[in-house]
Amino acid sequence: MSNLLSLLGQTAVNLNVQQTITSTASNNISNASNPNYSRQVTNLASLPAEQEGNSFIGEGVTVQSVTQIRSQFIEAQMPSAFGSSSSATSAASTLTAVTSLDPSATGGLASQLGNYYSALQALAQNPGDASLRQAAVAAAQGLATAFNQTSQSITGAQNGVDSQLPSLASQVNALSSQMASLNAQIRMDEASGATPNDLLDQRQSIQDQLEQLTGAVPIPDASGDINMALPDGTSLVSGDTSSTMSTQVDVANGSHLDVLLTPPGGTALTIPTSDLGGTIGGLVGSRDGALATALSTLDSMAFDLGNASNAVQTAGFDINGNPGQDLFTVGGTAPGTAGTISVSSAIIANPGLLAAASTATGGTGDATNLQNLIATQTTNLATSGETPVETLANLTANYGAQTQQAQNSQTQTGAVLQNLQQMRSSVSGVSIDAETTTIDQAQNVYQALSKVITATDAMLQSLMAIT
Amino acid sequence: MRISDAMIYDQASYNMANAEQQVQTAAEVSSTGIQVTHPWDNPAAAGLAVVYQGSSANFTALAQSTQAAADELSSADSALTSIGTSIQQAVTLSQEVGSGVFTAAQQAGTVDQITGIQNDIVQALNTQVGDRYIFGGTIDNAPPFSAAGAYSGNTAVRQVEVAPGVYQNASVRADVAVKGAGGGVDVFAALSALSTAVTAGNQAGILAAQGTLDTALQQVFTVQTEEGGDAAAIQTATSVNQTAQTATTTDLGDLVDASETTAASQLAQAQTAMQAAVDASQTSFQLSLVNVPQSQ
Repeated sequence: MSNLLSLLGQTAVNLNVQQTITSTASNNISNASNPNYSRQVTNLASLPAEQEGNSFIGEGVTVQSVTQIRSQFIEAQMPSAFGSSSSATSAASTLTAVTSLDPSATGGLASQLGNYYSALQALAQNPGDASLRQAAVAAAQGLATAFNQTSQSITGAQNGVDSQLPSLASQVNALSSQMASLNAQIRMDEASGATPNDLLDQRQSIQDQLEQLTGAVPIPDASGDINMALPDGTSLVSGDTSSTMSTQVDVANGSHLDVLLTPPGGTALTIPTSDLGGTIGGLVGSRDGALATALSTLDSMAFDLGNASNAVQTAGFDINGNPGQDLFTVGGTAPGTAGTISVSSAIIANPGLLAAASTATGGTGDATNLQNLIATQTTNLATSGETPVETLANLTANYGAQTQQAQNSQTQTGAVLQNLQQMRSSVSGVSIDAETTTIDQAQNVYQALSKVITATDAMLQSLMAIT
Repeated sequence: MRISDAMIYDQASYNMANAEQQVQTAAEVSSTGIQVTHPWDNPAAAGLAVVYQGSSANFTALAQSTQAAADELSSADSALTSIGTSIQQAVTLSQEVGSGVFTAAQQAGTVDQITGIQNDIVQALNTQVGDRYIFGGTIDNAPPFSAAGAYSGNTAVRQVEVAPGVYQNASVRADVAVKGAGGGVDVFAALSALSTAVTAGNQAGILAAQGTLDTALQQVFTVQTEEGGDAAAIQTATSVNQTAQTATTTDLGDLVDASETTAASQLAQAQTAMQAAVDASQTSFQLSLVNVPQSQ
């Protein structure tokens, strides 16, 4: 039965509710710049009304819970957006680091290839001229150096990827382990009936990071755990256990690093490049994709051009009428040739060894073999089936197209992620204005309740004065 | 849509980052004057730029080679003209000595003149362009003719590439022009015969030598005519290659180089967009209830 004393008691409870609302809003404002924080709301419930006669008299309000606000619709889209954006960003940044294929680069392969044939052309006009021979050999060295530098630039980018993988794997392991621990803690806290909002925020933050690093997707289960699996379904976090990511040298892949995953108590399994996502997937994908393709094409080009030149040279005769020798030093197989191709040291020391003549008695003015060497410019290479310039043009265009595709993907997925993050922030982010309004409202209610206490107290005083 | 504070700052950051990227790109194009710096700027254009660069270098090299060949042929032409003049002098001399009786002293003087003519011809045949003897075939590092007119060159004709894979003769076969190789007459043998006939006062021999020299003169003219044809073809090729080189360079520039006006306009546009992003962000930052009591 409602009376003045119980009214005082109810009002005191209601004052506490306003304090809780203010406290929650204060906490929200404090975390306004915390990107991992999801705003919380104080969920209120009216206290059961008390019946007096034929009326129900309300008893006020109570705090039912303090929960965080998240949109499952938006959250369900975040993993894919994080993984795709991170993958595209890492791929684009890796591929754009290679500038040795710039078409107008000074000393680049395109200009050195032109210089080489121009020098041979000039020499063909006067093959007995020592300075022209020297210039032709220097141009050949320039071409070999351009192959070397372009190869080093590409392998440098690949090695740069390798250098990042161990530390990224360590980050993944640390995050996976934390996530497994948080699963256990959250499960325990939720069993008590409370909502551990801060732990949920921590787990969400770790989940976001794992998605960015590996492209992993969350798989919630009935117990409230969030399990994480790589794009191919391989488990990264399962309940309160996590797998261990590591790296291993793969000799078959140019001694680059493979990424492995070892489940608890299990054996390490190599994760195929296609099954990696996120930053790691973008890095490995660009290393084994566009960069590997460019390097392979470059190696074949150097190998084929070097061998074609050597075949012509050995069929000719030098300035003294002696049989020609290899102009370029190339390996037995194409892989690695661009990085190692060089001009014969003997020819560098003695440009007269360039086999310009096609016969031993052709004389110093015989340039017919040089003309054959120049003809390699318009002869299709064995592997590419195209001329050297066409091969380089296609290599440049293909690399540019793949890099541009990565950049476009970066822009597109970045925009999608930005939009989703804005939507997430719209739902879960803190609005200081809204929280300020909430506090003002609570303050007003608090003041009004204070007046209720004052009025009730006055009424009691009046009553006591009568008695 | 509910707006959180983070949205305002994140959006501002995102917008300004995009604007900065656009300014950076526009500034790079504007400052370098190149719109295709990297393959990913325009993959197709980058590939084509490689081809154009190769073609440009090739046309330049061809033009230089053909110009050098043209210069050598020009020297050869001058030498052949000189040789023709010398032979004509010998013919004239033979006509003079063949038309009357000469004293021994006159005969000796005539022989000396013939020797001088031969020396002139040898000197012309040992013409060098740079350090290269142009009448020795592909043996170009030694004088192809001895003082007596013996030929030590070979029968090769040097060629110059006038277009990719297309070659044009770029030297004269002196053995054909003056030594009678291939069925002609030997100028030096004719001069020697003339000298012998003059010394002996052999009118019939003088007439015979004169006839041979007439043939030799035609022989030199024929070779010179062929040489002129080769030179004309090479000169044409030089012009064609120079024109092609210019056209390719223009095409490459059109493909790779940025329009200064467009680049400046894009830079200004990007800068304006960035300033707008900054202004909008500043305005957004001030729109908060927190600021209301302070402003009142």
